[in-house]
Amino acid sequence: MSTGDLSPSSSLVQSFSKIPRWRRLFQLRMRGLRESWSIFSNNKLAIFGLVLLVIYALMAVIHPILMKTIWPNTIYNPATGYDPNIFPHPAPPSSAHLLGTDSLGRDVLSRLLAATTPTFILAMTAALVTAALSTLVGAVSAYYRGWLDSIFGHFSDLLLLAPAPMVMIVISGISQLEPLEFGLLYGFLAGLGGTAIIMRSYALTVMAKPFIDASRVAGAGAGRIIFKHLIPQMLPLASVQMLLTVTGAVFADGFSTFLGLSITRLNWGSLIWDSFTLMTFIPEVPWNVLIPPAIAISMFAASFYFIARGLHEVAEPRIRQR
Amino acid sequence: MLKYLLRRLISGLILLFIFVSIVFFAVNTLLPGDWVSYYAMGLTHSESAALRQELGLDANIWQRYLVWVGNLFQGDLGRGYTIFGLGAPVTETLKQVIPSTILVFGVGTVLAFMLGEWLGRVISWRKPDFLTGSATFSAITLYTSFPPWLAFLFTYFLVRRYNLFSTDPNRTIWRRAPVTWSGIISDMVMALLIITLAVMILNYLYQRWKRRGLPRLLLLAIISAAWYGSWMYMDILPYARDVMRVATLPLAAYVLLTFGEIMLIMRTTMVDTLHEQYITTARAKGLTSAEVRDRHAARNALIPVVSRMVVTLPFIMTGMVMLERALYWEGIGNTLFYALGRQDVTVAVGAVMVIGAFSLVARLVLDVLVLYLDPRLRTPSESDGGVL
Repeated sequence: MSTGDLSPSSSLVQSFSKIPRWRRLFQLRMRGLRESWSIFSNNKLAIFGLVLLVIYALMAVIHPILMKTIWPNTIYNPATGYDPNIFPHPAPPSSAHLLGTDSLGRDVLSRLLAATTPTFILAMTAALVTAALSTLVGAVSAYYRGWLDSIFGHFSDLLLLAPAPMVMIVISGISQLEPLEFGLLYGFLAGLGGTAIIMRSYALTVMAKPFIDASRVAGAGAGRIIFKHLIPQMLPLASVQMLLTVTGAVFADGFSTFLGLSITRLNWGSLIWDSFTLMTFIPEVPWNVLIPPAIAISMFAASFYFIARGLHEVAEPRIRQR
Repeated sequence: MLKYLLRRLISGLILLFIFVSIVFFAVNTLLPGDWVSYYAMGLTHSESAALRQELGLDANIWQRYLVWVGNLFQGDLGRGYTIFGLGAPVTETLKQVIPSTILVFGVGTVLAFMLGEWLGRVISWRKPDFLTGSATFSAITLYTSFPPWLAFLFTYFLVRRYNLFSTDPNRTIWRRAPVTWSGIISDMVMALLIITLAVMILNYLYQRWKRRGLPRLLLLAIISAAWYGSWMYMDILPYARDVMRVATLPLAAYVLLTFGEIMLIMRTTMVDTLHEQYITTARAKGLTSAEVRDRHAARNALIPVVSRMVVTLPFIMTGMVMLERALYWEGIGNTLFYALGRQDVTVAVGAVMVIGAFSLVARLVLDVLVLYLDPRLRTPSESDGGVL
């Protein structure tokens, strides 16, 4: 600083510039995060959704630990367990089996927990891949228009003719997919297909708003407009789309085991289906087997919606005034 | 605008052709084995080779593709495979199931759209209270409920326990019937289409005259009354009533599963419009809150909802196979998955093609709707690219 001694605040400027640039940026970012968090945490439903998601994550982690410590494998194994101390199976909830047992004498809670891990991995992968891909593709094609837009558009149209669950069911009938692969493939199909079309049409309405023109006049480049102005506006809708993807992916996974096209994987859908199948032998309806996985699927997808509502308030400050 | 729609139609048809070709190759090559190896497992090598030759399965995949494309352009989709060799033409099979799909999914989609749009519109403009909370809660619960589970609850309580509806037709009526099940359904669908179109045109004329359309509930009532009347006019009343008795379950289950999604998106976008300046202007003009909501905010908020419908239609149509199956409703999706399970390649490809054609038509309809809703997109420079 050559003219630093002329300015009255030179010492202040010098002391400020001593702090490394990355640290200043980091502090700014942290402050922004903290503000967003305080807005997000004011919404009770969003916190509820987050708590639900954390509970699911715990459920996914806790099953192997329980199996190693207090649950003997012969009784609590999710596939082959059998409790000889109880006679008529399915049995109602008891202290040894908190959710009772199913028609084959397996512990329902253990099966529910064991099904959480693959479903959790699958749903998270599918949701994140869809949201990221569709937001990026939507923003880029709404910003550039022209040939890039028409390539993406036609590709989405092509994918749209083949509904993602249908494709996934057929594919998992041909080859056994791991949950991660299933999620990635589903996210790819949904994110470049239908969801990209929605995000693009929303991005078009954002592009028509005056603040985009304003930032263009102020000299902002393509990258800045897309990442600083366009994508933050698209995030609330993207998070709602995440909910839709989660239900679609979980249902498609459950349904692929339904048709008998793939070897039965353990997931919430197949838990329901298993007890439907067993009901042909034992006609009494085992409510304690059916209701937990049905609630588990609903709550899992609903938790994403609640989080979406919280994110919506963060991204759209004006609705907080209500 | 007509030119634009024509271009969309042509590019859509080309895409449909590419898509069906991909499906043809995928179904023929990716599925393990073929129809002969699946059904005629006990045959010797020479016998199965002879059967393959008879069914035309021995040729190279490219030759089969060329033959198939040649037939396709003559409107011939080939014939399905059955235990007795070549079965009924695929077009006949599809003709029987398409009307029942249109009946449940067409009517269901329209009803779900109206219900979801209305609920989302009303809820977004209310202060959060018990009513909005319970509406949102039930929408999320229904939307996220696993379709076979919902179907099971329906059959368990409404059919098995209280015997209100039925999942299969009343045999005594149909035994002596001069008509078939699918014939009645296609008559009913045609009548409904004509009536709906007529009522829409009348409503449009009324709107030009009075500057305001009739309330939607009244329109629905008129359409359903006229539909019921048309059954009597066509002299198919007992059969049509039996069809509706069976169709009500899948229809209701479908509406309940679908409306939540539309409501959630409508709500999200309505909240966004709430603070736009034109809303403030409309309020300042002295319009009532309901008028501002319905005539200014809702029209803009509808655009994302409509574009969502484009994606939802084909997606749910196949996704709801679970529903069709659990409730024994013979639709296009049911046919598709049965065909896939039996390696009945021609029927499967035909069903996929119909699903693709459905989504293409829905796409065009929604394109027109978006152009109607958003005048900004009607300027010449904008209409070059895709609208949605």
